[in-house]
Amino acid sequence: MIFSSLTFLCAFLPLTALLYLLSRNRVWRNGVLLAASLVFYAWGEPRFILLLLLATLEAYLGGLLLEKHHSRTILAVTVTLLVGNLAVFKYLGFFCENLSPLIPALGRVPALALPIGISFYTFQILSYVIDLYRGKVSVQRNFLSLLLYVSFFPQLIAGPIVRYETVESEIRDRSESLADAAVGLRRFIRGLAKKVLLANTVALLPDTIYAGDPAVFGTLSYWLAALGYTLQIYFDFSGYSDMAIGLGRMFGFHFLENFDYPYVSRSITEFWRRWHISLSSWFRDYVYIPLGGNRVKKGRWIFNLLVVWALTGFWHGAQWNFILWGLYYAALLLIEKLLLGKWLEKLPSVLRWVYTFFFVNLGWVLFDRTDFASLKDALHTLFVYRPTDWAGVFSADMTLFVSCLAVIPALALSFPILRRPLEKLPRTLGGTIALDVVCVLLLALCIASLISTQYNPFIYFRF
Amino acid sequence: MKQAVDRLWVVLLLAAMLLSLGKAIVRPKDINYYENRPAAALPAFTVSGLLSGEDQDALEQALSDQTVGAQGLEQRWHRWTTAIQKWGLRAFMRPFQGRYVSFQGMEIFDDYIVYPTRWLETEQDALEKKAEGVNALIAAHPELTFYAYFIEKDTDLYLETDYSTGVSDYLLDRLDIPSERKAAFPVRTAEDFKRFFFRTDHHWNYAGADRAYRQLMPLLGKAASLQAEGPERIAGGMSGSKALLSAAEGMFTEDFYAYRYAFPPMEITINGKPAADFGAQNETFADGEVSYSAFYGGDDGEICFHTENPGAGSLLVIGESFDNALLKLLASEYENLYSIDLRNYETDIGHPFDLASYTAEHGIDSVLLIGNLDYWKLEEFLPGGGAA
Repeated sequence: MIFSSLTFLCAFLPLTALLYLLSRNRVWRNGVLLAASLVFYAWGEPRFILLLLLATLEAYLGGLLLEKHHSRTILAVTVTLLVGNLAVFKYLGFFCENLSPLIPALGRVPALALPIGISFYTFQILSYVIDLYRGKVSVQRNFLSLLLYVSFFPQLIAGPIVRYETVESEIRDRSESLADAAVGLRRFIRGLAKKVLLANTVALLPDTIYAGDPAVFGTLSYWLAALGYTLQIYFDFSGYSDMAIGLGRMFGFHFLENFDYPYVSRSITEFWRRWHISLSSWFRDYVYIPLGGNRVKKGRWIFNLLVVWALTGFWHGAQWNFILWGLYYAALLLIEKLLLGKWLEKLPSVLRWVYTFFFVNLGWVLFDRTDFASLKDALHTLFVYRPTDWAGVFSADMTLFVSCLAVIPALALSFPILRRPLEKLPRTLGGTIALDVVCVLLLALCIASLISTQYNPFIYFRF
Repeated sequence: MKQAVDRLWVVLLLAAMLLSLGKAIVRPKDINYYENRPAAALPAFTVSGLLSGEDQDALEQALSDQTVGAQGLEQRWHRWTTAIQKWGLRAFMRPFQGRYVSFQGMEIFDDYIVYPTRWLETEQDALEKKAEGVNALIAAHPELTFYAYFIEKDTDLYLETDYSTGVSDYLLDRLDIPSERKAAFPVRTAEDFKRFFFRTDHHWNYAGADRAYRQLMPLLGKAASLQAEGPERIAGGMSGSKALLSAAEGMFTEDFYAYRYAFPPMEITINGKPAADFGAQNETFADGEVSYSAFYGGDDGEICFHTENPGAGSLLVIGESFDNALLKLLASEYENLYSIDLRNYETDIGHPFDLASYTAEHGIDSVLLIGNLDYWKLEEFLPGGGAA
């Protein structure tokens, strides 16, 4: 189930909220959330719920053993088991496919379906086990509480990657109120609107243009497609994070922010401080720093960076383009840190922004084009001028015109132009009412869109 | 106060969201009037349905149909998105001149809603079969003189290049009717199409019908006696059949123009009942009320015209809606004219149509088969070539 579905909006969410409100104490309320989360996951992938339970059980038992023995071996075994789940279901096919020319028998290994959200929940579970070993969190003796942490539906299938330490105390004890629920619901609707009204609309640009007739779609249209994808992935994923944070808040949980207007960044380093914060901080804390971080010799530091970014790319998908995308950022960060750093600082802000936005855009082309033929064609068209038959572009589908127009508000809203009003409005009664009216209108628009169009792609769902 | 507003808002909004599910359970809609189809209902959940995901999809579809105000929301959404696209089309029209533009599931060509070209390669098997049926009909009725008229329209032409598909020639060549008794209403250029057809409706306009009348009369061995006056603007705001069938309902409109003719007095019966007129060519219409069928008449199973025109003969027209605009013109030249629409005859009259007994009963010796590609291709217009 995804948040931007009528099943979620008209059935799952209000029913869960109703049952939650009717539950008297913490145990029952957590029970409602756990049951709802399992239904939520099973709704899309009934058979993979067993894998989710198995992974949680591994962490649960590993946690109990770690508390008793505090052994590096136990940690290593638990982490290996958890990463093994991910490796089998997400990466086995990739390795078999790439190694089959050397070992033909691997070509006969059947491809496994990817369990939804496996990358997200595996990383959450790992954070619990590793933080437990590090003594940052206490062991969770109640399996159901640990299962609630892992399977909690707001963050289950597309993050943010919530660390156990963030919600450890809130699972046991939290205060929730209807006022809190109002804040959460507003945040949820904001995210839904970002996803349904903006991301879905601009998504048509890359989908149509990259698949179109090369005689019609030339260089400028490809840059438009690249921009479309840049905006789509931001509003898609940050919208989903908003929805997750809002839903968490409705039920009394306070998740950390996952995006901080990344497209305002004026360096690649800054971009990665603002984009998918929960993932980049996870890799920083659980891979980069344990490898030695930057407090090592230059050669080793470069190695660490390359490993972290190759893994970051690989986390997004078992395909070479994702690894390439990760290494692309490793290269950019190295260039920034070793060569351009001080020079960049002297440039005017606008030029620094242009530099960053250009390379981020280009990065999303690497990310989006999963097969190399398509990637090569896209890069060739982007950099070797080919004219665009604009009449032909819109003749193929005039709906694309709406997508082109949507680029303007999408680009504007990727900057924090509404941050202050959104902070100020709820402080007064009039502002609250105005905000609530806007939210109702946005929700109605989202439902109208969901009813009227079948086009509802979701990029991070597949990770 | 602010907290009270917050509480009220959350409760009301969640209740409103839940209302759709409640309505789908307690009082589901039977029909989705906006999409003109049965509304999806909640699935009877089963384990196998849930495991396969079919029940989940069915629930999503059911909520899409049953959500409170769903059809209104869908209609408004389409109107808004269409309005934006239409604005874009108009504002930046120049590059689109002379091009097909895909628009909300339909094709636009120079502000005309058009059907896509239907190429001979994909149509010829059906045409071949229909020609065989018509030839069998002709062979079975040597006492009758048959005429054939193929109405070309946007489907018979690739408008961007004025390339004619040749479908009409292919069909007419295969009919066992002498060449002087068969012809096509030629639409060989985009300009022809724009001159003789509506912008929003699939039928020909006043100019097309008049041109067909003047082309048909010599074919039928007669002279066209009526003079056209006008054209006169009858009303504005017509949203024709093509516009109504698309998601852009009401977004594309046009003025309805018509020629005036001095028709002779006629006795008219429609489906066996006397009628004051066929269509309403002498009536006035308010903006938005006029349509092709309202003005020229509908697709009735049987329409009979009798004029004080002794010795002018009788003609049976087996056709479809295109001839509605022609019937009174043709009837003016005959003593008796009978129009049969085989799609509706049995329903309207109460028994199947039989050509032999019908022509014998009414003393008919001439039969005009007239229609567009669909008529010459589909079974419903001329089943088995009309042999039934």
